[in-house]
Amino acid sequence: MGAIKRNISAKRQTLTFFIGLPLIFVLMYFSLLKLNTSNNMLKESFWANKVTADSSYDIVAVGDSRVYRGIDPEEIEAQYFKIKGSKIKAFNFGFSSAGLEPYILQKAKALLRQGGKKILLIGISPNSFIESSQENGHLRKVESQDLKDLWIKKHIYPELSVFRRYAISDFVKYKHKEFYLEKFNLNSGFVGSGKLPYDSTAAINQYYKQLKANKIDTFAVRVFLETLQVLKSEGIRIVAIRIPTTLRMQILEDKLTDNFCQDLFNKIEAEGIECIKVHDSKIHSYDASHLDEKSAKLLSLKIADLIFSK
Amino acid sequence: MIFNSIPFLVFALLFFAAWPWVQKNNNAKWLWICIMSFVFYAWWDWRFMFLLLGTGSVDYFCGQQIYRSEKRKKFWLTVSMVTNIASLCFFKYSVWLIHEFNDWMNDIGLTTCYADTIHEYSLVLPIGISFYTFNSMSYAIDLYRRKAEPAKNILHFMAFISFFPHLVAGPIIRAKEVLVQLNKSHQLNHLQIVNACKTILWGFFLKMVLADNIAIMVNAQFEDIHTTTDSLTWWYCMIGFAFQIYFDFNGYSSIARGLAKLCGIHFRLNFNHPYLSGSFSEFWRRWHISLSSFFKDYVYISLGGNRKGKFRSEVNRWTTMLLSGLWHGANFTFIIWGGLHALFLSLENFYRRHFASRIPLLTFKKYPIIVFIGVLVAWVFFRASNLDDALFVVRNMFAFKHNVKWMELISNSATVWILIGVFVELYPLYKKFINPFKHWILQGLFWALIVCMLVFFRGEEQGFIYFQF
Repeated sequence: MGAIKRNISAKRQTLTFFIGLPLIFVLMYFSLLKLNTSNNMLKESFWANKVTADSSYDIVAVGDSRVYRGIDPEEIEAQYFKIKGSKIKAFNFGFSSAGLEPYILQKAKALLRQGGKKILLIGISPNSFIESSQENGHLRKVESQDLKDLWIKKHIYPELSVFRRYAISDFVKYKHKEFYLEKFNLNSGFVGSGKLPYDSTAAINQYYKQLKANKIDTFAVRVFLETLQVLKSEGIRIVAIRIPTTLRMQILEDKLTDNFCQDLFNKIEAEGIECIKVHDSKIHSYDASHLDEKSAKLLSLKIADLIFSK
Repeated sequence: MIFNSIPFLVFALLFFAAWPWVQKNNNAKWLWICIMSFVFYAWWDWRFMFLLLGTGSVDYFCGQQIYRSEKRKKFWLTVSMVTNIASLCFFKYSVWLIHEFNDWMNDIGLTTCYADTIHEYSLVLPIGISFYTFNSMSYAIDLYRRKAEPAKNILHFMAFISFFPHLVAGPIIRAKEVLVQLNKSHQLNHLQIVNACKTILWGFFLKMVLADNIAIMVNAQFEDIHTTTDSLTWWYCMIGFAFQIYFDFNGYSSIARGLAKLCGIHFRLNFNHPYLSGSFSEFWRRWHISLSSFFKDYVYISLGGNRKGKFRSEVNRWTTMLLSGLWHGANFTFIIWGGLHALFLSLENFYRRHFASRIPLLTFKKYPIIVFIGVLVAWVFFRASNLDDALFVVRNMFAFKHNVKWMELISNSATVWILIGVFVELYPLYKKFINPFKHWILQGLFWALIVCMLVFFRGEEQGFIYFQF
């Protein structure tokens, strides 16, 4: 009798489970949506996409997080179409704390299409030349994943992105009305970013500590300049840019690095490589280092103007 | 392939979709288990599948010889043991031993270059090697002791060794228990299927929700180990690690048990609320039960157990615990971890023999907190990557310097998961008084909630800690 009872109870449990599951799921899904956090599944897919991208681009942007949050390839493509009336393909190959060393530059070059425009847009920042960034830890970590995992992340994760993960800290941030917005653009390699509330000094302390503790690696700079020469000799059009931040951040970086960026731009220009500067009062950083989505789009548009109007 | 991955989900669906039909035909059943288990293993690195096949074949052959010949059974047992231990030493300990030897030689002023002679294959630790080697060894020893019947043919033996639920991280199973069950055909009723699914879901919850979320705090703490000298932080971190490793491994064991249950196979319980233990000996009866009983049956008792006097009994205990530590990894920290547990067990024994009758109020059984603290200290050596780090943490734990506010510490997200973990661990204590899940409606909703928790609150995907062993 006991076994029969337990079997009936198990059947009832199963029924309740299958009725309750969609109800609880929908309830949780919509309750959690308002937390407005980054979608971690799309994030993983985004990085997997980056390291497995093929050589089909006319213009590739390379650099650190300022690049992947600051340059929107789709805006460049659209602006090019406006100027020239034909289509090109652009891609953002930025990685967190990326160092501009030969490995990443060659990787970016490999994404350029044979017979295409072959433009390498390099985002310069002092952090890309400190010793620790030369390892390109982020890029190598993503690359070192198993090929099977990368395939799953690239192709399956976007389909499953509704099952995104949440953390307890998301609730805390929500309670304090802190939102960190990230829109992962899987095909272009750009992350539309933002933060609420804006804090135009948020990253200052971190950068101060980092640049105080780490000096610019002069060897890395020399290797960088040599690599640019090699790339140039291979027919690549190189364009260097310092992604705008806030005035405070720019002064901080210049002071702590003895005007490294300006010196580097002078050297680059002396080698016959293009350098562009964009200043616009409508371009804003939400944390003193990275541009918000709207500003990134504006910057990309201006970059396209400067590159293609020549 | 790991259980908490999409490929495994597809794999399991495939396996169990065919299982009801496959198990009706005896040969097809064994073949299906072998093929799928090898796919499961080869997903990680197909080359090491041949190691599994190689050592498995030797053990199968030795097993047949041990069973057939009474005269030469010792010889064949030795062949099997040497093969298993040699493969374990080559892949698990050779690099470590060579490095240690190099360091010792350098210390006395001699330069050696043995590190250059390390074969690239020995640098990679084949996943699950410690587990399947032990399964194989238990088969040969049980045959030698005439406690088990040999496998009918090599297919049966390979299915037993490679049966995917236990292959890469246990539990360590015994041929005499599992081969018999695999031989039978099982028609599961609804209750059995529901129970198996619950065991699997519970395992996933322990691993993906509790262990993986706690891991974020623990890993961050150990990554920047020398920046924190605050005692409270280290106690908090080690409590976190105690629950992380428990839920990580218990989660894996539960998933393995549930998967086996779906095939109609019963694996023994591997964890039984170890942190409720009132003594260290009880802890070892509740923690990683399949490994503890392996060491007890095949090492401790083989050495003479407690039958040869008090001193020999102590020596046997220390040997067993040190070997158990070494089994976990090629590092002095693991040996010290084993040694610390041996010390706790010896002290407990000494106390029991000399003081327990005189001061009955202080029997260890009443002080699970003392056991928990001892276990926490030992976990430091298990978690730290080297001896210096471990000593740094222990020193700071007992320095009782506090410069972090309580509130700052417990406002960490991990606290929520640790508290849920404590609630889960204490379940046997309160289930008699409060059991909110007695009714079938609540049970059904509870498991629906568990699935939703798995979807929305899983931690960052991490491998199982015990895979490295």
